[in-house]
Amino acid sequence: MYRRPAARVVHGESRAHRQFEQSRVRLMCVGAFFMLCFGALGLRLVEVTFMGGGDLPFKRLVTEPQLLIDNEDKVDTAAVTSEHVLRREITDRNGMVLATSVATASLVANPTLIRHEAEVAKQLHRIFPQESEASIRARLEQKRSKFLYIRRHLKPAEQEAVNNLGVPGLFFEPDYRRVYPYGGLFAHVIGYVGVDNQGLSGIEKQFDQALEDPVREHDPLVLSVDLRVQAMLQDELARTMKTFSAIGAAGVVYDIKRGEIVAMHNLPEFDPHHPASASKDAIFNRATLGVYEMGSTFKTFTVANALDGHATTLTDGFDATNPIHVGGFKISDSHPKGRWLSTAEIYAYSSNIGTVKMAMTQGTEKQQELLKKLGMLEPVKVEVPEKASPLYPRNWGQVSTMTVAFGHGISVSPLHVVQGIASIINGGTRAGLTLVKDGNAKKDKGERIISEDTSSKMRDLMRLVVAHGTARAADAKGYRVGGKTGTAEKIVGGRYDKKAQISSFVGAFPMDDPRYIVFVMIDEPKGTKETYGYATGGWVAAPATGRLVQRIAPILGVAPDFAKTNTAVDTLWAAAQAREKQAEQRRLARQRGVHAASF
Amino acid sequence: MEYRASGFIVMGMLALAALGLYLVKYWVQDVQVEVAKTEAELKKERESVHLLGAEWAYLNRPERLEKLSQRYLELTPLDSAQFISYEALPDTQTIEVNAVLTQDAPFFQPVGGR
Repeated sequence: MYRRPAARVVHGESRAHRQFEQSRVRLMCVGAFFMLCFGALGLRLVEVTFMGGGDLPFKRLVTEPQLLIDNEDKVDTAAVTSEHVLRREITDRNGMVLATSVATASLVANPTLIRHEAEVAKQLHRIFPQESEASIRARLEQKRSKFLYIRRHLKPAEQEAVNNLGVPGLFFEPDYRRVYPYGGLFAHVIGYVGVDNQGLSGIEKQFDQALEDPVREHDPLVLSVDLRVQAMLQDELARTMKTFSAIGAAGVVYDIKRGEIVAMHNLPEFDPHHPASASKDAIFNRATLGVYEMGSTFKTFTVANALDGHATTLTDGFDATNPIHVGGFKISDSHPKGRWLSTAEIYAYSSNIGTVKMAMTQGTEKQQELLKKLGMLEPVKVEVPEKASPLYPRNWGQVSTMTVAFGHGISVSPLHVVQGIASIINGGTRAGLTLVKDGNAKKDKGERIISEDTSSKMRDLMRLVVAHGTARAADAKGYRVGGKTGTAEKIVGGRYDKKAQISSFVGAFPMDDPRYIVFVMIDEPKGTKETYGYATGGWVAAPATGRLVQRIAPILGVAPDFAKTNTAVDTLWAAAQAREKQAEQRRLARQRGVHAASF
Repeated sequence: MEYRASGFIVMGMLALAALGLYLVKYWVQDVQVEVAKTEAELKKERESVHLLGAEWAYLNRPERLEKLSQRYLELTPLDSAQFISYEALPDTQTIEVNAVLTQDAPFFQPVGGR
């Protein structure tokens, strides 16, 4: 008799079935889990393919440093790469490249990987004779750091030579070197950088952070200077310096309408690629950092002050017959006329006596106020860090007022003079200086310093000086140049030295509506045979300016106009001529009288 | 035993997926290498252009241009007296000019005036 297998099967079935069911469920759970994971992967795939999902590792392929020997398992790449940012280009206003960063390679060593230090040092010294073998060996032997420079900025030939050595532990690091295609021509304006491309002077230092801005990496910094005008300025300064055996020179060309410096240069200049080997005198930025007593140029401000204060007019004047004695000093004229002079004559003949009398009509406070408004008592605002603080009298009494009136007792930089004269002739508002193109474009007109009428009168006076006065050599025909000469003895060892002068000329053209100011200053010129031994502003700086204006005017877009005349100037000169004639006749009459009396 | 078709389908899909993964992965790697190569070339070209810009600036040094102009150009600096304005020209008259460009007479022929 068979037992019903079904019953046993049912039991077995249920147990095995239950086990089977359990396994099946477990399998399904595992399967579901895997489905979930693959599902997630699938979603990620969709995300990465169609929805730009996140950082992908392959970018590193491009920024790997160049390894001399592939040593991936041993090299700590973090130690070998260092971030060198591309320093932005600096260009002139027309896009000519004045400073640029050139990609080079620097030789780096990981001393912990180097064996046979002496042999390696010897080989490297053969390639770089400037680096002493001992110093290279010392660097290779100290095992503390994993990153040491052996030599910066290799030449391609040097790089190949080092590569051929096949020394493990030496690496090439991509680096940048600052290059100045025009060398010393912009050495003072742009300045120079240190070994890690950090700005050390000039524009490089002032804009150091902005130049390393990674966002604007390929945007050049555009300056307001013009390469062509700068080159011509340099040429004229160099020629004048050579002719008169001077020890230095400075020049500035300034755009009055835009308020921008178009050219600024000092001599001697230096090579910005090797600032360490430059002399202190060459590195010194005379135009911005040097302070000098400017002499007669300052009379411009005294006359403007008196005219604006209605103390005098162009036809009124003062008696310049006798020198002024004050505080143990004697103030006299270099070319005394010995008579009454109109304001116009005082300025045109550069009479110290007349100027001092004019200053006394205004007094100390008014003088200080005007100079302060013109920015003469504080550093100028311009985009270089080397700016001079002017020197002015601590006890500004009557004597100081007199000397400041004709430009002594106060020392300012050439940029101060440019700024001051610009403010006087531009209609009478405060002028601003900038070295950046369109740096003053968005600025409002400066504060009013003198009236429009006074400014117009000063323009006439300055034209008179060049047309008929002490600066005739600056009269570039057709360009209506106006200006003022200045000759000041330097203070050497506490006293004025007759042999050491600062001869300068500040001019502007065209004077009926001035567009540009040109300032030329020569340091210690010596008279020549052609100048009859004279080395004054009129003999040295004015002719240089005249030649310079002829050269730069066409480039700056100023057309000559021979038809334009200035009747005011002609009238003033005619009156002055008439007075000279009268004075001459009186002198002759007196002599005849003497002759008659001696009989 | 029952063999469900779905099993085979799934295994087939698995095989296809594995094959697909293999193909896509190595295809992507190849593309990556291409991209890296191209980017490196771009970088090199950009550096070259940059360097050439510096060389161009160097070749435009005023002293070099002056030497070259003295050697090859028979020109001297302008003097202001060489400029004249249109109004200052003597005896100017308006001349009508008829531009005639034909095969036989390819030049400007003045018409009327003196």
